[in-house]
Formats: sequence, structure tokens, C-alpha cells
Amino acid sequence: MSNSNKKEVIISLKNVTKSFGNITVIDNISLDIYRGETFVIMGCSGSGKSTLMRVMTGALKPDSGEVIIKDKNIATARDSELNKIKKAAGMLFQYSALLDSLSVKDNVALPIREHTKLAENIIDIIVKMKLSLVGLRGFENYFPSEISGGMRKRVGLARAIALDPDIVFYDEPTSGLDPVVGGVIDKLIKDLSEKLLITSVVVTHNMQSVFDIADRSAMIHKGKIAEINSNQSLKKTKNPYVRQFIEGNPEGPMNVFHDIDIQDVIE
Amino acid sequence: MKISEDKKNDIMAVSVSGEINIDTSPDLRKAFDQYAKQGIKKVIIDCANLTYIDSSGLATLIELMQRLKKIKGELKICNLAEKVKSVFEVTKLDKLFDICSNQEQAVERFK
Repeated sequence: MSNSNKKEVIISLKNVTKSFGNITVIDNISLDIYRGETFVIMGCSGSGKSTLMRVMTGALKPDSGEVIIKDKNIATARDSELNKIKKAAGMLFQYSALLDSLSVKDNVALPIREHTKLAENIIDIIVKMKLSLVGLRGFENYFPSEISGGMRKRVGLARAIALDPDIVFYDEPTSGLDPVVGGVIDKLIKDLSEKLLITSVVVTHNMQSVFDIADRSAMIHKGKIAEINSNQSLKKTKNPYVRQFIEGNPEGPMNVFHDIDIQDVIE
Repeated sequence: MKISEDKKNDIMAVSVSGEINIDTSPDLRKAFDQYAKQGIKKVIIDCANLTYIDSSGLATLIELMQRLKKIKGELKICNLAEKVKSVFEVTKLDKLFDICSNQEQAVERFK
């Protein structure tokens, strides 16, 4: 972690619960994320990890508990405050979420045009700087359909850091990419965190990514934290849920098939 | 952000204090517009009291450099604090700008 000696809490969840209907997806979760660290949230499909990230980004309001980002409770923040907090956070979506009708340049410029009144010439320069940081200088006038999946992710990343955020949320950043390109994206995430002192929150189920980029990781199972580990302690953990996940073992406490009640099928 | 200007002979020395960010960089750009109107070709940005610069601030400096190059002028940047200097290094702009230790060195390099 770049700023490990400071240990300044930048995101704090306190007893956060979120349900959809009668299904509790996030169950009384509390955790702190520190400035400058890369914090990975991992778990099986349906574990609640993506919902947890959506709660952190303010896209979903929790039913109870507090989500404090940079000392502001986003669950109770007014719209103007929430917008300010959202401006301080970037997001890389699972499928990059680029607008196909816009060039690479205009996709990266989008949040700058939306949130600032900067002159077009200044925006152009910022876009070039951001594309340079992700190794895509010269691709300004390409359209998303003309570039590879890995490049689209990098454009998404350039857009996520367009407004110099303190925090970047990554939703499955390497999904759908081959291992080599996935490794490139992981390296970028780590580099940007270290160079720009960005706090990175990454949702993934790619174990290689976890080992490559995480300062700390939280394993989510059935809406609860099974364990939080540093990168070193993760490899040695004896927590049966985490071990099963790391080893990709179909047998273990997370018995996903047996967790499905046959009664559900009949009903 | 505060800007103070000191013009000696044909050199404009600009001391910028506080933060150059999305909210303040347009004011800096307005000051630079005036220099262009006045035909100033040699500019020093003194960052001794600059505490933070974001991408919009860096872009504003790049634009100034582009403008000056067009009229065969020059831009020097000096007195960068470590924290601000690291922003230039991360973005590799330390290679693009002529960064000097202080105003005296900057003036010397114009010659």
C-alpha cells in the first residue's frame, strides 16, 4: 500500500444491510478502507459483492447502517453533497460501458464536460494526458467498435480517472479478457493506485488478480464478510470459505448446489 | 488560488499559491490570455507556494506552453514542492516542461 503509514480511513461501512424483497443480500457488514490501498472484494456469483460495491458508490441506498465516504454519510447525504462525493470517485464498469456512438476522446471527455465548465482546448489536453496514462495516446479518434476489449477497458479506465478521483471502483475489471490482457489491466490498476495515490476498490472473482493487486481483500459469502486478509495472510489463511474459493473447489462450506432448496424449484 | 505577477524587462514571473484545480484553473487561464494579448513571450511560473495541482491545472500550463511556442516564446516552471513535483513526474510532464530550481535559474535559462 502506498500510504500504509497514514492509515487514513477513506471509506467506512458501519452495520450496512441491504435486502431485495425478503432476500438479505448485504447482512450487517462493517469495514474500513484506507486511503491509497487496493481493496479487493471477492466472492462467488450471488454472494453480494457487486451489491456491496453499488452501496459504496451511492448507486444503492442501504436499508440500514452508514456508508461514510470522505467523512460524509452517503446514505443520508443531500443530492448536491452526493454529487460532490460521486465526482471524487471514478468507476470502471464490467463491460467498460463506453458509448458506441462517441469516439474514444469524447468518451473520456464525458465526465469532464458533465461536471466542469472547462474550455474545450483544456479538455482536449486532459483527455490526451489520461489516454497517455493508460497507454492509448493516438487512439483519440477511434470508436469503441474499432478497438479490442482490453483497449476498451483502458478507455473506461481513462474515463474513470478523468476528474482526478481519490477513489476508483472497478467492477470485474478483467472479466472477458485473456490472461495476458487481464494482467495488463491489473498492472494499470496497481500503477495508477501507487502513482496517483488513488484508493482502488475492486470486485473480482479472478484469484490471480487478487494476488497481483490486493493490499487487502474481503471474502463475501451470503452477504457477510467471511474474512478480511492482507495479501500475505490470504495465501496462508485457514478460513474454509476463503480456502475453497482460492482453490476453486466445488466441495466445501460454500456448497452452492446444495444451498438451493429443492422447495424453490417446486414453488 | 492566488496569482501575483512581477514583470521585469521582457519576463513575466507569475507566483501561484494555493491550489490549481477544476474551480481555479480557469482564472489562471484568463491571466495567461492577458499575457498573450500583451505579446509576452517569456513566462516563469513560480510554484513555491503551490500546494496542489490537478489535471486541469497541468492542462492549463501545457496550453500556455503551446501558445508560447507558436510565438517562439518560452515557459519555465520553478520552485516545485516535492508533492507537486511528483505530479509532474507521474504524468511525465517533468520531461516536457523546463523545470528550474528557482527564479534566478529560470531567468538565467532564458538567456
